[in-house]
Amino acid sequence: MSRSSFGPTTDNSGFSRRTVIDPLTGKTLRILRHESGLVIKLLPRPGFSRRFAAITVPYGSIHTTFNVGNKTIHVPAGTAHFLEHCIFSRDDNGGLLGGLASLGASANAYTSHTHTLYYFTTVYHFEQALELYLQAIFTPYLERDRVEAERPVVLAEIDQYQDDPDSRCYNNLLSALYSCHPVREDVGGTPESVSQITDTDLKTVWRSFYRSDQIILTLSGDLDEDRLLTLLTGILEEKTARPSYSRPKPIFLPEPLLPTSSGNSLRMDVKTPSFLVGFKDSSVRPGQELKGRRLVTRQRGVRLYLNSILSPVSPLYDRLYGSGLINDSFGFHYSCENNHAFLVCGGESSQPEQAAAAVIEGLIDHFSMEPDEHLFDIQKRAAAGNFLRSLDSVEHSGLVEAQCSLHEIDLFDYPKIYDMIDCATARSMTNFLENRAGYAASILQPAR
Amino acid sequence: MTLLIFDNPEHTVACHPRGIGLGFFDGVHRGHLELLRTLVFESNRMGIVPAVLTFPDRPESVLRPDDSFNGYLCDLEDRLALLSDCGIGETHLLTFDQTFAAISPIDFLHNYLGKRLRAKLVVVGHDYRFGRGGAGNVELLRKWAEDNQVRLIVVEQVKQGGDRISSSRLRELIVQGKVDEAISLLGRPYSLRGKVIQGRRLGSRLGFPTANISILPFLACPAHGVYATRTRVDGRTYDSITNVGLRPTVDEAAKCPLAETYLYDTNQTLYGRDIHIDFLQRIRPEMQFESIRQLVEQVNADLKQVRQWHRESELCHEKARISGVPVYVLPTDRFAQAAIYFVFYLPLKKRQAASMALLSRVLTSSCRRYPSRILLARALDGLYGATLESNQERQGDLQLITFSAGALRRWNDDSSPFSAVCDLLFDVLLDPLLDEEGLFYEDIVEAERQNLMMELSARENDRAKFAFDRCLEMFCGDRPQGLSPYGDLESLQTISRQELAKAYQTLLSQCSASIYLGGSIDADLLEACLARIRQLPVGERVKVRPSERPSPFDPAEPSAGLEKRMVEQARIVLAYQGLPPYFSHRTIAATFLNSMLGGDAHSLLFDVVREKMGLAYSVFSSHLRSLSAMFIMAGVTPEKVNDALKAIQDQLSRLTIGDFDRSLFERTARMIETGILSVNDDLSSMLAHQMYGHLYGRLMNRKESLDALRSVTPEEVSQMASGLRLVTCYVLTGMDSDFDLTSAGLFDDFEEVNEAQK
Repeated sequence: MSRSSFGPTTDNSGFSRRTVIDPLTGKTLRILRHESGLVIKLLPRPGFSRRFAAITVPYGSIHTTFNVGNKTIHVPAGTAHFLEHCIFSRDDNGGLLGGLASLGASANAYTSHTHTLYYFTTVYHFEQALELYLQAIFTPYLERDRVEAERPVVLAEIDQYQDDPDSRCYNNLLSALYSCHPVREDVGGTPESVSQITDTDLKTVWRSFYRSDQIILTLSGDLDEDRLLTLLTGILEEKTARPSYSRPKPIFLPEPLLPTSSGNSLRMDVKTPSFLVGFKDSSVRPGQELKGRRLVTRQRGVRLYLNSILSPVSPLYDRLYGSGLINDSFGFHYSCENNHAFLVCGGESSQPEQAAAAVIEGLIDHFSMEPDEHLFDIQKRAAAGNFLRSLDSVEHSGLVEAQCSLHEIDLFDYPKIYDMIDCATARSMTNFLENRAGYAASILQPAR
Repeated sequence: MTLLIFDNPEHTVACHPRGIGLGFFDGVHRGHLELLRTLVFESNRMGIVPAVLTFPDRPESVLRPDDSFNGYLCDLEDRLALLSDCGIGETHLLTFDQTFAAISPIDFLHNYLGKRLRAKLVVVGHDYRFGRGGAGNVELLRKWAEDNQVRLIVVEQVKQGGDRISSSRLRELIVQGKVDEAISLLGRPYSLRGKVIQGRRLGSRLGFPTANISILPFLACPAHGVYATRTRVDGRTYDSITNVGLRPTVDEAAKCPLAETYLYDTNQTLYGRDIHIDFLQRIRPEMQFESIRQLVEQVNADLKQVRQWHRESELCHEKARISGVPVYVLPTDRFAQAAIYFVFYLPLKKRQAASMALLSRVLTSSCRRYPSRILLARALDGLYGATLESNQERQGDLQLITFSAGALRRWNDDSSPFSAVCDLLFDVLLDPLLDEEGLFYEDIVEAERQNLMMELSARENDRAKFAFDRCLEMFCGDRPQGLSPYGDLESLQTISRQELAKAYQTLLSQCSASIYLGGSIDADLLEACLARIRQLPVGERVKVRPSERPSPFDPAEPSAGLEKRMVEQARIVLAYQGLPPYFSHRTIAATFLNSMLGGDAHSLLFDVVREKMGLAYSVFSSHLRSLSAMFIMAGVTPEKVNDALKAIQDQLSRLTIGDFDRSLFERTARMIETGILSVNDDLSSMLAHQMYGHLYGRLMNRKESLDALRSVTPEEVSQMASGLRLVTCYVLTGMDSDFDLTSAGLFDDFEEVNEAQK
């Protein structure tokens, strides 16, 4: 569903409004757009106590170089994550976290390669909590003292991930898959890059990306729409005029079609070895971007197909499990974003090299066989059921809607997208895995 | 439970030491439960028999016979049964007459508690009085106990809704018809029991066949009127509507009140059968109608209201009990999905834990209907992504094994994926894939063994879990509470298929078992589940009841441990002892303390140690309820271990002396409140709340939990904090760290720790 389908006129409060009804469940989604450009999505869930709010900012760790007007700006790796930390700025009263906690709200945030998402859940004082959160987003304190106070906490977090074998193995794989794309860097950056981040970097990024016409607010729960809009009108008028300058444009260098290397191994003080196999899907890359429904269709189609060839229902998984090469920890993820896409799969294994090789061979072999349409249909059923079950949770449905917004679709578009994908289409989306040269592996072994 | 009557010469009192609980215990309400469970818990710790000394009739009937009395909350038979359910080993019944009333307090203590009952432990309420004229009080008892090397525990009063829970308050609520409030005080609904009597069959003729029981004159009678009730008969429970009263419209001459109950979802002849009617909510007072037609109209309206009340109240309750296995149903229409939990408990033992963990994996990998992992996985995905899994957990010295399944209640072709997955869960449990010798297939066992062993080894890869496990091991010493619920690698490696087959029999026939169903559960689905549950083998099952199991726990001697590995970040784990037992009403204050200290981003540790001092990225505390312990965990840079240890200890000291902002207390209260209110937003949380509520003996609804939360004061939290004693400190740090435990000022006051470290 495109945002352009909003009516041309706004009401007195400055909002244009639209309602989407899911034919499967009868549940509704209200979509409102403020004249400042801010989009608000409401998922009403009467009968539930918790209320959830998410603020989606389309700025992630890969956006380290971007143009604003005719100026090119470069910030160190980890800036998006550092900014996320600083938004939770504390003061003598405890800052945002302290303020939200005193309202009984539980708040959190995460930074991904492509976006930053701030969210909170509460039962009472929802409007006050929302006001606090929006104030923190729209008027953060990003002065030097704050930045210096936060730096050790960010560095400690990086240290913690350095001790996490899964995280190390993953980062190792991405740096084998990609040579220039910033997705190869850890979301949090490195101790060196984090040490270089300045208050100026953070302010520049905030000014460029934390704009009312880029941010999307998603709310779910037992909500009073009128009260919320009154509150939001006040905040938006005060804080967020629609920016007069053009949107920033992230810059990415061309990325080679094939991985930088076929992989490598690392050693850590661990007891159990593990492995990850990756494939760079170069059909999505800088210069060959995907967006909106096309992106989500590919994302879902490939994931559905991968379910039928890599999950416990697949002959490959069954064979690897039966031979002891993998265990229950084996999993996979296909990431497909605007200008990069890759598959990662793996888990613990007592013979990680053999397991990685067997996974690669198994995937390549798969495409020499006829597809199992029945199995694919089962996966579609499972996806449909999982979708309906996810709507039982106020937070989960709110969070998924918030993530959908990044791709200009809505939660209720998923069933329609799944309906459109048949086995042949999904297989053709996934057959990039036939190319042996596209694979890389990351092996984690216990230190000697 | 042994019943011993004082004046009966045939009842010889065995010559063993006892823990004695004193009181009348009418109704065995939540206040009584606190006392009785403390008695059982501490008696078990001391290795003595928990016993109660009580009277058949209330002393007031002798001392003040003219005082008004609203009736007993239960008869003697039910009172004894309730005491037995609490784990009381002996009940000594003593007739309270004028002769007994004249005994002096000290003679009572000396002759009854000392000589006859050989009390080594006495547990009483704070207002306990005894002896001639009620002259004996807790102070006298304390002195006598000191002189005679008897341990005395005085149990604080338990409040609900701001007032003390007492039998007289309960009686008052019941005669006023406030049966919903009575539930909060009793911890269960007020219940009337009786044999169904033959009536005039008027209800049947009018289309509402009722089962009628007489309300015994000495029992508290709910205010006349119509109630939403549940009726228990022959191990089954049915939603019902009950009229209590004299039925003025149809019987003007009636003198004795009757309870007439209509079990509207079942069609059974109940005459002559024993039933229990549980009173849940009063709908309206008794009314007299001018005609039978008016009466019928009103009954129809009442029935509609009661049906709706039952549908919307979402009250989890025992729907059936089959061969000692309770089946709880939590009815709710708010979720698209439904879930079933099959929970087994057994004592945690090293090799057995490994067998059970492996068995759970083998069982959930296949069954006769789907004889391989892949077929089972496909069947589940085909049921619109249904789930079926097993889980192992440790609760004190108990191993919990849960088999659970969840699926959509209905799909738009009107099929029921949930009914199908329930069937599948029962297949997995009751119809496994076995060879001709009755053993699990070797290839399946080996695959699952390898899988589980790898998973167990990989736990070490997670530094936080590794450090926690190490600290817990040190904290528990050789006690079973420190064992992994997945067993150990050595045992896992050597478990034979024969052992596994034996474990399977143990699981089905000897473990304590209970089943929870949540969601929109219709009668057909329930009956289908009950039919499968009847296939469980009948056997002597492990008894799990609060205060007995999980068992009392005393940690190992204080100790400290330092380990150096190739890590970037040091891990600190501190283990404290001294929180109340898991069943106690005071655990809410422990929850409060934990939340204030290190519960989440609102806590003191997060605020000071992470945010203000920048010493750690993660720092939090955890309340290990079944061990009465609190663990504090932190990830810090290796150079800052000393600073972090000091900072953590400082924050705890601040709580101890009450040096904290009122705002910290208030935001903690709000966060816990949010947590309480959030439980009902999630079906699995609702079911888990029930499961742990039963395990801990502290099952409270939302209102009761909020009442308990609001009763906590800052002083109580400080008092709780000052009762904490550091028992174990574990630090995992980098190879080149120069941190030394002896240099950490933290241990200066802990001579034992330094000793242990040497």
